[in-house]
Amino acid sequence: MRLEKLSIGYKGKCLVSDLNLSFKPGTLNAIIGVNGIGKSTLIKTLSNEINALSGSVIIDSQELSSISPKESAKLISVVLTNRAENKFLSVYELIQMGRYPYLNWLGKLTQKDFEIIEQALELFSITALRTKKCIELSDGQYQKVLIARAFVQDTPYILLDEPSTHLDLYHKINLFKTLSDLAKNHQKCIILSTHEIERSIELADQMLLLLEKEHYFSSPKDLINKGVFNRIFPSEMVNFNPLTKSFDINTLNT
Amino acid sequence: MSTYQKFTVLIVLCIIALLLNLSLGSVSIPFLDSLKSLGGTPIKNSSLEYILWSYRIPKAVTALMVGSSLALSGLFMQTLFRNPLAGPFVLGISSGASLGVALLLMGASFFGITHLSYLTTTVGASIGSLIVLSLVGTVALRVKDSMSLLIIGIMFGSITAAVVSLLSYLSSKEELQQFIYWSLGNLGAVDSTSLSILSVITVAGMSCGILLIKPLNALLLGESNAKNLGVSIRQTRIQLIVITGLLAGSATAIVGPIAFLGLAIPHLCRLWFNTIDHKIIYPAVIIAGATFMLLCDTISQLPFSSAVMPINAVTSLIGAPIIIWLLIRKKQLQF
Repeated sequence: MRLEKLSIGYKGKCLVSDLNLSFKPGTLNAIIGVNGIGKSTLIKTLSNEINALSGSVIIDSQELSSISPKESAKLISVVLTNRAENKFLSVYELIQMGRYPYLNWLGKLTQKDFEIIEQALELFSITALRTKKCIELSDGQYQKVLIARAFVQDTPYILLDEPSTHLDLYHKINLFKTLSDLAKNHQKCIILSTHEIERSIELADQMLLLLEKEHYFSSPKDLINKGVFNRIFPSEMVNFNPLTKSFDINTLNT
Repeated sequence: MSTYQKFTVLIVLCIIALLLNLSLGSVSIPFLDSLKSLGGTPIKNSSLEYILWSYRIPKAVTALMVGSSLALSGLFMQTLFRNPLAGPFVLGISSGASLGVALLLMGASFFGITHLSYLTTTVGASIGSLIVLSLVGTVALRVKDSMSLLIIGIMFGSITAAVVSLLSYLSSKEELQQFIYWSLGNLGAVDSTSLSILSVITVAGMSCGILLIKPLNALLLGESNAKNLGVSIRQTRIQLIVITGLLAGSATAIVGPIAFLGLAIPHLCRLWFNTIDHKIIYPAVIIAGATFMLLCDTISQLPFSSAVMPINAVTSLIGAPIIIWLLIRKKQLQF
């Protein structure tokens, strides 16, 4: 997936401009930045939910905006957090929905569909939950189910919009680990927006840091060396410590 | 109970409801006789045979069609708007029909006609609901999210209802009585032409609706997710509105605005089948809607007496307690 001179935002308000970069297969890519900087907007643009202001997104030498919804459903899957899904679907029903783009007009599952769903249940260790309704799940379990749904959609690209919200520390780490494994073992290109900067530094392959006027796209190590993490938040409150790879709360000035 | 067993129970119930409906009324026709007559052996008592074929059977068929149409329309609207309170009339179809009939009654008396034939009110109701529906449809093409569309539909409904109130305020006692009589719903007045039109529309609408089962299921994930799965939201929305308009519109035109059933039946089916998968709920609401309508009609005929209750009151009187009971027992509405 290649972004060329991409500018995103809404009518009359450009959030991020002139993005030139590419997301490669087998990598976990984290988009970070403060609230309102354009992380979710970028995810929405990349998933073709909204149009770019200018520039283009190129997938397999095709322009994203020219790909039909049916075709793009086989290229890009999206995991949205906090949207109005119907929580009365059972885990199995929700996951099988990922096969939608491949099914006939009545939505009949074939042998291949059943196999890939079983594989997903196994992979995310949620086999025991298959008949449970989504409303009975914990946030951590539900997030896994949503990712399993994206997995069975069998797309080279998986986009996730702030998947770590609502999760405790263990589940956050578990999520990042799962995504990282998914990228490595299944050659997926995974792009997520997140506030988990420290987790991303540890487990992401590439990070896209969105700042007010500029952006950086590189490996976490590279970004630490450039010292750009200190520019995300006002320095009187928090400082990035390159040694511990984490943020320190600045208590000296108070 | 497995899903198949539940469907079997539902179908058996529907057949029992149909036979009850045919047999009971101001005059009772023995069960076996109606069965035989349906099978081709006329009943010895020719007046019973006449009642069965020219009154009971058309009425039962109407109840079947109307019940399943309204239940299915309710399901479509609830899924489209992701709102458990949506029903077949959220887009103003019944108020449009009321306006058509009210205008007709007023207009007719202006020209000195005091009583309108059944066919005239049917045409009036159809035109009224078609006008409101096409207005809502035009808006649907412009509005991006379904929630705004829902509110707009309700607004159209309020405007139409307000005009109807104004008209009824200005009308004479006789006109008002006729209008109220129409609004209470009546299954028995249907003539053969209207019944054939109703049947064609119902069967066509339901068959086209089968093509929407797959996108309806995707809509359960929310519009953004459905879009990502390759569903064209706008196209699906228009298709759902058109089919609902045809089903609920024709049912309303023919029997009057029958409330409640369209809202309640989808909930009943989801609770009983314990799923929200449209592959199961779609056929379930069709059978359950028909069964419920047949039962309500049987009750409204007050068996063994010559009195008749308005069907619109019966559907709510019977249906609402069932829903309340189910909710208290199961503790959660599946939506």
